[in-house]
Amino acid sequence: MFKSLKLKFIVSFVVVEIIFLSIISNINFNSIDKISQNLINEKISITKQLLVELIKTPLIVYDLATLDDIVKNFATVKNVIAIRVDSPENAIFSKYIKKNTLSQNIFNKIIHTPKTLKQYNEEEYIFSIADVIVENQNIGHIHFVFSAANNMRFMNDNKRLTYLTILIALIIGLIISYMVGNYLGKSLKSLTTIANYVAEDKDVTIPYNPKSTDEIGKLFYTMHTMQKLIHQRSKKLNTSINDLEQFINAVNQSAIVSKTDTSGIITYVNERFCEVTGYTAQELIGKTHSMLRDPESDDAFYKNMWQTISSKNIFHETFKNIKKDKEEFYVDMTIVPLLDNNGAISEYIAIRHEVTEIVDAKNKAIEAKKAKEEFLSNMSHEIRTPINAILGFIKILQDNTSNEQNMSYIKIIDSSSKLLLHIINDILDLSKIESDKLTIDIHPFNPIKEIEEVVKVFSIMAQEKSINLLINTDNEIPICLDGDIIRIKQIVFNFLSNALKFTNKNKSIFVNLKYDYNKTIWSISVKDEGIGISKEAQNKIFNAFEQADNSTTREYGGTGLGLTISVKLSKLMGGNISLDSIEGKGSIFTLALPLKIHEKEHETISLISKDKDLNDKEYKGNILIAEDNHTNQMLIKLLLDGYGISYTIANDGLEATSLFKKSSFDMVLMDENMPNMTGSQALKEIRAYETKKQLSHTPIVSLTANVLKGDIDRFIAIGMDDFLAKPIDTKELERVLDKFLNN
Amino acid sequence: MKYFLILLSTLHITASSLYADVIMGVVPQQSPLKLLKVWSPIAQYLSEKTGEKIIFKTEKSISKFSDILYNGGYDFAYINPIQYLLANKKQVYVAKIRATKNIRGVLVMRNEDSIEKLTHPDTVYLFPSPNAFAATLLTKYDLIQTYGVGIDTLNKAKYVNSHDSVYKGISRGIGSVGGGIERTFNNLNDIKTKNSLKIVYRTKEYPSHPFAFKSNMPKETQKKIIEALLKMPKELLKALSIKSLKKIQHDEYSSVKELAIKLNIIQE
Repeated sequence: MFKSLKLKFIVSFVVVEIIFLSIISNINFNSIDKISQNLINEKISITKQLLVELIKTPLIVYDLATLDDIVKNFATVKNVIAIRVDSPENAIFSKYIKKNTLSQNIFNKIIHTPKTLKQYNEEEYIFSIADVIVENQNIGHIHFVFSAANNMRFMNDNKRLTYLTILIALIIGLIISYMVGNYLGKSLKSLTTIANYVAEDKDVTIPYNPKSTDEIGKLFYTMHTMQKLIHQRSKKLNTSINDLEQFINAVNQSAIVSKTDTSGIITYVNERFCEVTGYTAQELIGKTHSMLRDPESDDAFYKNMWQTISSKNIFHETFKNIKKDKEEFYVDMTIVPLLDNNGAISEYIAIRHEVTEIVDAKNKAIEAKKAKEEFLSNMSHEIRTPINAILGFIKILQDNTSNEQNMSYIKIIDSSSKLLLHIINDILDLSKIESDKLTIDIHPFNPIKEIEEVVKVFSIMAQEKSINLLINTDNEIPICLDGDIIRIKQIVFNFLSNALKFTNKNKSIFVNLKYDYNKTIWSISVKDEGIGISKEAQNKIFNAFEQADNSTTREYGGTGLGLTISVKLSKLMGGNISLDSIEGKGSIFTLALPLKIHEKEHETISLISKDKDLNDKEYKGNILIAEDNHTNQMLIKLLLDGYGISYTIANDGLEATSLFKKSSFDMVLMDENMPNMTGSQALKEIRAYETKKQLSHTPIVSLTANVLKGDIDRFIAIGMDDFLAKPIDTKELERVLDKFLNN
Repeated sequence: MKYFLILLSTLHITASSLYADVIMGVVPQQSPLKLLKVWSPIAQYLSEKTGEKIIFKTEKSISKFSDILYNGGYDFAYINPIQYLLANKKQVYVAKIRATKNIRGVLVMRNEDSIEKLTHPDTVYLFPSPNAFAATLLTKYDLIQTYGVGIDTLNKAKYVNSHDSVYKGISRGIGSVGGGIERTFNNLNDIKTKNSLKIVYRTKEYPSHPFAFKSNMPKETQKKIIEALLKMPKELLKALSIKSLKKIQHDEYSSVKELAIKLNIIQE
């Protein structure tokens, strides 16, 4: 109806003003009218009561002079026009009509018409009558005529004034609303023009006053600020678009890109997609990706993919696809759900990179690694078996040789064999650590006793080199700690071995033990007064196959694996190794491990007492030994003879099962790699026989040089009760005998 | 209303100042308002002239005024001759000054009424108060003496408090015959009433109202007041309808006393 904002503003302002002013004035008139009416009624009532009381006495005594005075005086009261006092018989006792107010004629008409409010000659009168009662006797009555003119005049004056005020307010309101509307209209028109220019990206200067306090002024200033921001954002946006275009271009050059709708229908493919798959865009769009699917792929894979992306998560996987020409290819794919403004998935974008070569390389690497592990496993078996035999027989030779010359040769063979075994063990350990197959076994141990044992091993060698080997404790070391003491001793062994190797005659080596009760860290330091290590060498000394320099290897020997293994072992146990060395003065290697004090005291005591009884043990029992290698058979026989155990030898698995069925055994030591029947197959046969004959379970302990973690797990998994590595360690053998024979 | 308030406050002041000021009592022959209008300027004039504080005082009715007078409630008073004689006897008030002109009672009737009504048995007679000298006592005496009408025995008399009320009562039909005095009738402001009435009888002349002073009032004060009254401006005298005042002796009221004895108002 009103097209311009200005007109709308003015009309609405005036309409609202009129409505409100009308309501206010109406309320005002009504209330004034009521108040005025109440006031005049009250006044009349009081006047009547007062006059009645005042004229009682004059009326009783017919004191008309006094009555006249009273009446005349009363008539001076505002609004009182006329008073007439009559006798009960309506004889006029007194009468007074205010001058220039009412004619006698009208007065008579008023008092003879039974109306309260009367109007004559455009004047309003209020008529009232009151009886004068004394002692229940009517002694007269009074006629009053009051003027309502004052009241009316007051009302009319008030109305006139109100109407005038309304008119003035309307005019002022109209002028103000016109001025404000005009200002607003012009300002908004100007703003609309500016906004259009800004929208069309045309150059426009926005007039603004930063100090302006009114809303329009602020709006202009805000528009100016907004224009600046839009300009900046446009610039950024253009840069972003440019970057994005280049990015898309780069992606298209390298990646296989496709988009699908929410039901998986392809809506877009880039050139690279077609190039790699051999399909054209027309062949792909409107279809699903199942045309690229490897028929052998698992449904669960695709189910998982859809679950992931339909939950608004990003899916990333490397998998096989099939080209149009049926050739296989691998892709590394990332699917990202694209969300609309409401956060709902609108489509999916898939970015693939062909990784066929990488996958092939990876597979090859895995195969190579597997081959390496198998080689190491076989090597350990193949090398350790003869060394086992060599060491076993050296011991026998030592026991049976009295010729000193021969004894010295045997010692050389012994030390050379042990060194060889040590080197092989190091290589195997490193291999195990790197293939994540080495586990840490936590058991309670006596720290001082265990370290003393290691030190004792080196004490003879130290003595031979005239080196002082001293052990020292900084504070009280706990009696029992929880940890893998075999590996700790291995590290200390390495430290001492190095210290002894690089320390010259008449020098000292100090082994220092310290336990931090607050941090529960056990530190073992080995300090030597050897050749020391240069700063440069300190950085690479812990790397595999590296010594301080190549000349070291030539002069002192060794594989250079000891420290590398030690560092890796310490890390596996949650600790670390630190080195402090000055070239020419010596080195300090410190192993720090977080080890807790063993909580159960009785176990600690039994552990200590057990340690004391380790030597010269005897067992009772009958053992079946399945071992194809004759040398190894002899070695086992010698060890078991020492313990007083009876045994029967089987040359392969088949013979072992046959012997088992014929006799009763307390335990079986089972080699794995045997002709006719492997150890695993023999185990199955024996267990089946036990079940069939309802025999009690006979412990079968795997006896093999296959010592990789995977092998051990496999043996336990197929039902072996325990595991003994070859060459047989007497302590390990005693552990197994303790476990299965003494119980 | 305004005048009433003034009057009431004045009465209050007079009561509280009874012993310190000189109280001038005036017999209420007219409405108290009218008396106030006339006598207030006189009291003020006397105060200024004498240096004494002269307080005007009156009462609503003549009877109440008389009671106060006889109890010596006023230092000097403008009273009617009979009141004077009674007051003189009781409290030894002494008349010192009065209007030169004598007083005479009148009987008034409505113009339209015939003279026969004067003696008609149903006629109602209006008087200011039972003891008003000229207006009541003289006219009643003459009605018996001249016309043989015994008003008190007929029980047809109404006492309407003031001379003006008598005239207005007759004019408005409360009664047919009213007793008054020439001075008050002539002074009647209500022209309509005055014009509706006629004087039908005049009594003999007697000494008019005296200013009577208490005997124990200091002579000097009395003298100052008398002198001031004698020198009172004409406009004040005119308001009292008195042309002039003169000094008098108590003996001047012997004729009045004689009449009062005849009327059994006072004993010989």
